[in-house]
Amino acid sequence: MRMMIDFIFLAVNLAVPLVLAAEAAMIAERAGVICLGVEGMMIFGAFFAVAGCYFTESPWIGLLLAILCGIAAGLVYGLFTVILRGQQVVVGVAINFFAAGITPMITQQIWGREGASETVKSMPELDLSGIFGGNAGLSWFVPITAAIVAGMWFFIYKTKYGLRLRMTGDFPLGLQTCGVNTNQYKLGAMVVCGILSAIGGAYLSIGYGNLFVTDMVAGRGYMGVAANIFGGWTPLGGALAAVFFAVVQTLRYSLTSLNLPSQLMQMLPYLATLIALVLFARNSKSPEGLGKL
Amino acid sequence: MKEKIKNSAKKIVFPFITFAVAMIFSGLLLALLGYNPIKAYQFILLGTFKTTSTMGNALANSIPLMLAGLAVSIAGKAGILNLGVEGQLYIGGMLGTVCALFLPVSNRFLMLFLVLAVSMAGGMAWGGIVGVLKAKYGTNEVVVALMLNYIAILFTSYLAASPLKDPDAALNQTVRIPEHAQFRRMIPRTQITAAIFIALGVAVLIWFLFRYTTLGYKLQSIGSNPKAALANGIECRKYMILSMCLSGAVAGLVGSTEIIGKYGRFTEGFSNDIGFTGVAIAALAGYSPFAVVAVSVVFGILNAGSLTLGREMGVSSKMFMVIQGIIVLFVATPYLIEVFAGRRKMKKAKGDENECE
Repeated sequence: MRMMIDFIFLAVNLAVPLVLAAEAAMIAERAGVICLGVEGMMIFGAFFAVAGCYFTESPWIGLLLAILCGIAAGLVYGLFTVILRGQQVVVGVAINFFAAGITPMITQQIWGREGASETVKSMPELDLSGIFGGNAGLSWFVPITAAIVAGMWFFIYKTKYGLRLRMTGDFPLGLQTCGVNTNQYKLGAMVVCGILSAIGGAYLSIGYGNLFVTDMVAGRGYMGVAANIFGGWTPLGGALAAVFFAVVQTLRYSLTSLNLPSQLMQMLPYLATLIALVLFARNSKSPEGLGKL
Repeated sequence: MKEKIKNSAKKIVFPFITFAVAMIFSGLLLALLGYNPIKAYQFILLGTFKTTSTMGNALANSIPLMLAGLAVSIAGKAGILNLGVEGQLYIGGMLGTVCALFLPVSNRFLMLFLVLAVSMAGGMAWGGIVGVLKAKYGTNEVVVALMLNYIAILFTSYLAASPLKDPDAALNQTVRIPEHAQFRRMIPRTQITAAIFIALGVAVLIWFLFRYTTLGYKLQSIGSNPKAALANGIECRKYMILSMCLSGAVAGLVGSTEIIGKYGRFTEGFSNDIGFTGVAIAALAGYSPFAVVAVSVVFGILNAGSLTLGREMGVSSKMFMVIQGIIVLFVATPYLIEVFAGRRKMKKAKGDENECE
């Protein structure tokens, strides 16, 4: 029982960044932009959250700085893909390169070493040990993430703007004939994508951990993109797929008793992502205008 | 005719402008971070052209980059972005090492041939997976390739950490491969080996493939216009897989030439993002093999220089990655460079979809 609860708590905690990355990829791709830059924007979020927290000693300001940076990154990403019509896949990859390169450089400038920052105060946890006993703590990010997923579902399916956003991804020409500026929707989607990615990254550095480490995102952005595809480009489907990946990641920590080599255990989530992509991706339907301008 | 000359002039001039703009931007970033950019670029150049040995090492640095860039450009010509070079080179390098360690062959040339061939086969298989999944199930090649990278890197480092580990070494690495399975240094005090001829040979072969053979033509046509290619009876899927196999084979060569030429053993994490640098090189070179050779020499200098920069000014060697990111970003948005070059005319950009339905 105790183990079960610990397992669930760990899985929920590990699911947060993946769910956020999946939602970020979902909103961008629903607006018709292939979004591989989630990884890079998560790196930015993780870095700036720690930087903000380090200089002000408040994790909430760190989170705020990460969000601001996410807005900026989303705008730049949107500028290059939507306004300047760059090749979307390549621009995403470039952003990931840039983020992976610049953050260790600034880390070295601030803390004098390249690999990791100093430790900072992390976000407070919701203390649930009264109900579940033991050290059952949930980050504040968990309810925030749940609210984001619910809000995303409501926005996409229940509002006028959500309908237009879906149309932007599926058949932009049709929407343009109705007199709607589709580029505005695409740019807006990219900004939201940047914010969500940045929150996901911030969770890794100041929610789950308490410092910035180079390579700490470790492909979670790409996993989020895969989860979005696996979940059929829907808010709830993407979140569920992300939770599935998180459970696989959790197995890595709870199967330590089997004494498998650590490298092989680390391979598990990537392998699961690959298999999920192959098995399920062909049944789901992508937005029809994805990647077109 | 006039249009044609204009286009080819554009093709030659644009990479230079892109590179210049990227260097200016990186300089600005350096200045923002409180370093002196002019001094930094001076260090890069001086550090490279100080002695024959530093020049040789910059050239030696560019050999794996050359092969990686060529690998990316084969797939790129067929319209596929191969981000999996990193994983493919680890698989190739590991298979080559295993071959060199355990094959009871004493003939030097046979041994070298076997090592190179096996590593190519390994890279080919690993790249082929990406091609098959894309062709059969339409899965996004970038995500698949990146997942395969993680799997390849973790799996080979597992092999180097437990079953094949050198018991006397602190690092996760295999024992040294026998002397007759290694390339000899061609110039003393440099790391230049016969690998440079392999790289140049591959470049010529690729040039020949795309210039004079029907296979090359077919590969190119599925990249430039998949629908027209399909309408003309070219089996898109088959050639998509083939291009990834060829690309993977060259990527496998990166791994084995690095090991038998430079390190003499498989060490965990030996590549240091060579595969990703290959993407930047191929993009800047516009997927043309000889341009890849030229660009990789420049990148080899930058790479060697960024290490000097770290020693002299304390700039993180990740600077190199930042420059690559900016270059790739600008190459992906040709319109931006047109603005910089003063040709502001907005053109209808081509979409980057390549469907094969």
